[in-house]
Amino acid sequence: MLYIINKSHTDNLALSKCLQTASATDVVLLIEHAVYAALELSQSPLTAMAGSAVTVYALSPDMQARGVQQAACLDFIQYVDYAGFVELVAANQPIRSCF
Amino acid sequence: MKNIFFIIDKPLHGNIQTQEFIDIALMAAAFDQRVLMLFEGDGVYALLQQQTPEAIGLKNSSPLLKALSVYDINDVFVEAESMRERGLSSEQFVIEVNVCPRAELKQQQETADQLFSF
Amino acid sequence: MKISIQINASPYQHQAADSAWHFIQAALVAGHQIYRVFFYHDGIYNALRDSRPPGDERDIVKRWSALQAEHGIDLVVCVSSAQRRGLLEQSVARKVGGYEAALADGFRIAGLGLLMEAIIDADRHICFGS
Repeated sequence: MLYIINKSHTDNLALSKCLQTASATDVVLLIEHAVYAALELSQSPLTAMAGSAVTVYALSPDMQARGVQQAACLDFIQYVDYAGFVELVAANQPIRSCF
Repeated sequence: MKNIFFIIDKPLHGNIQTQEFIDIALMAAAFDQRVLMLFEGDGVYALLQQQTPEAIGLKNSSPLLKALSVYDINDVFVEAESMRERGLSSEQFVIEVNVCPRAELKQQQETADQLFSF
Repeated sequence: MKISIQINASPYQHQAADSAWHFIQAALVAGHQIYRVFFYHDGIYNALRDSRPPGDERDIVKRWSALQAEHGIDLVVCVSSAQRRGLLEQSVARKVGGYEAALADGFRIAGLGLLMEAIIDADRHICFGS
């Protein structure tokens, strides 16, 4: 399953809830304000996920827009642009956009 | 026929979105798709009896929930954890529901062709 | 792959319309087909012809119209969402004495059946919202 999360983890529980049941076959994509959760010092639910089997991507144009630097992010985060976003959509089913 | 899973995680009254979202589910059923509905998070409050939104000048959308079975939407689930977190029990609900743990509902969602939330 | 898009949020207040537009551009470049873009909830405000953002900002409504003109993508605004929020199709507006030119170029107003058709026919249906 692909989870698309678009809200900051301090504003919304979607990221926290999806991580509770996420498994090795699941993929999480952080877009819009959700990219802040990728920051190492953000205290987001992701910071407790090191070594987890869940794959987490962040949308790099949304990071750039917000000044979120890869160097400041958790080391297991992977990065995609919109082309990569499209590839994730094509490769995963079902997809849950969380709001 | 597709399995379409509708996830309601917002209350019923206060804005129009939940009502408009349920409209999609009813339409999906009218198109002979297999519709599953899940109430989780604050969406479980949508099921409570004795909602009188007329008090704030809103139309009552609770009859929409009662219409689900008329549309043959019988796979209606409520996340047990969300109920527990809010101190709710299923006797307080306007319709009969299947109370399921989050992990089980996750497995159900994985079999869906389409997941819908709003 | 056939990809269908749904937009549930108004432009400018949320990023949904921007995210969807960038996603569609990338999907087209990758050779995918955009089956339909369906505007629901406050997403119907993406179709207001008289939107006039300042000249140094992106024009979200014009961008949709251009997408339709250049790629023939079907832009469908939900009729019940639209009527509730004051956006009427020309023929309906004429009948009820409403504003007849509200809908921007390239959009059409139709029922939820077209959303169902998109969900059933497309390989993927992606929602962007608030």
